[in-house]
Amino acid sequence: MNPQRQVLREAAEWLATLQSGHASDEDQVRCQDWRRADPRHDRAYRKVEALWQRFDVLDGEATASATLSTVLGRRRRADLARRGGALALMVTVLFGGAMLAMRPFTPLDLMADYRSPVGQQRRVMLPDGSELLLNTAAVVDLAYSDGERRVRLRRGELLAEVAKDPARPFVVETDAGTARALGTRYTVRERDDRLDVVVTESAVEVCAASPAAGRARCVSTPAGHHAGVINGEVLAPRPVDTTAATAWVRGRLVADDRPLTEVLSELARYRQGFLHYDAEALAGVRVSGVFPLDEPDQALDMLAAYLPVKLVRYTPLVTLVRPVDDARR
Amino acid sequence: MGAGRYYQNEALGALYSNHHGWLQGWLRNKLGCSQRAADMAQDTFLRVLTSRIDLYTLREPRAYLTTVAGRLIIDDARRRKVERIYLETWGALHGETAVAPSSETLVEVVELLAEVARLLEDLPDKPRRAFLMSRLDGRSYAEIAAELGVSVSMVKKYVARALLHCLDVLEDGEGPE
Repeated sequence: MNPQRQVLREAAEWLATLQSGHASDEDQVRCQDWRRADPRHDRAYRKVEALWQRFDVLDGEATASATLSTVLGRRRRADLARRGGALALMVTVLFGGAMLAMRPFTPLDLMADYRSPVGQQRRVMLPDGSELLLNTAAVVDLAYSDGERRVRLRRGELLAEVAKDPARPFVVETDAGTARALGTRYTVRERDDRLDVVVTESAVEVCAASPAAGRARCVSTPAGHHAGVINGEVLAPRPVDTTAATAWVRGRLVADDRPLTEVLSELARYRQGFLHYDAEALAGVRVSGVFPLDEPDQALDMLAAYLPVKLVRYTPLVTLVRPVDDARR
Repeated sequence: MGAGRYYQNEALGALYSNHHGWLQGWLRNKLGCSQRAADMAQDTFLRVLTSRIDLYTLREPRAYLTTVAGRLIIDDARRRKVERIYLETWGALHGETAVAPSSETLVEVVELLAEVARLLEDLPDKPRRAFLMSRLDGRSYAEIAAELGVSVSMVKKYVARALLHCLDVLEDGEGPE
């Protein structure tokens, strides 16, 4: 191999290391050292980096990604050809259906203080001794001050185990509102302008960020209760099975006679890719069971094994859930 | 420089008048469509015009023209295929009722995807899938390793290999024929 190509190869290996998602600070430093050691190293690295950035526009574009997999994947292309008629059918089945996919991370999310990958949990120790457990795809910023411990939950769900400090309230904030405590254990979830809080110990004050006209702004929520904020309206606390409601902490989804569509939309949060179903066609189906959240595809297989539904996997990105007695087949 | 360009233009003029008709006939045989053959012949000369090859040293002009035209046919076929599959995938992901991408967006995206496909198409299956999963889907090497049934350090090697391969293809395309 000529020396120039050898340098390019090394540059490609450095970039591949730094993009792994597991790169350490030490890797960063060692890469910098390598680039500084020789101007040819730096040139080669920039070249590889420029190539990497050519793909930026396609980042997280599900259609683009699935197209490339199909165009390039020999095996998958053959599958698709054999199912020539199935693809057209898929479109009719999807008519009026729901599509579930992870909300993609924005560049701003990537700069947050803490975040957890899709399908994984992350434990975060806070400066005051409190702890957060971030559920799948959560994004969190810290704003601690002398008078207050504020945690901004930009997206996702977390469990807060709050260290007692009467002088400094602990506040989890989302767009929809806040959940404020002195010392307690509770979960907070953010989704589509909605805030959900489940209190497992002590009490939490749940407040709307911008309360609807004529409505109370805050409500005190005791242990064993759920409260929340939807469209600026504070929901009155209701007793809840906290073990089931916080089962995600143990990597489980507990469903007690819940609509299948709800369970599917929960599972979609823990998966990469798209999950489709026709909500109307699945409307009557209800589910009870315990499902593994760290293996959401296994959970889907379990549903397909016990319920009158089947799974159709088109590419690693696209999974379709259909009623078995679908007349349109 | 000015004189060089003058000779280059003159050489292109000669190439065009001596071989354009022949090339169009060759393309018509290949494509079975005279309209597309005429378009493709124009594109071929456009490609020659923008290439850096010295036309005066060209010994086999017809072999050169068919090489360029042959690549254009492959590029065109790839683009059509990407466009067809993109639209199918779009329909599958967004549903029949969804608004299709505008034609400008479509042309742009298809052009881009066809270029990426060209860069990656000769890579073996696993390095290519590892690269796509990492770069486009943003998945971690641990996830990719699990999916491909290889070690995490192998995924890293795959990604590096894919990058090097892309650079090779780009290098190839830019040099003289």
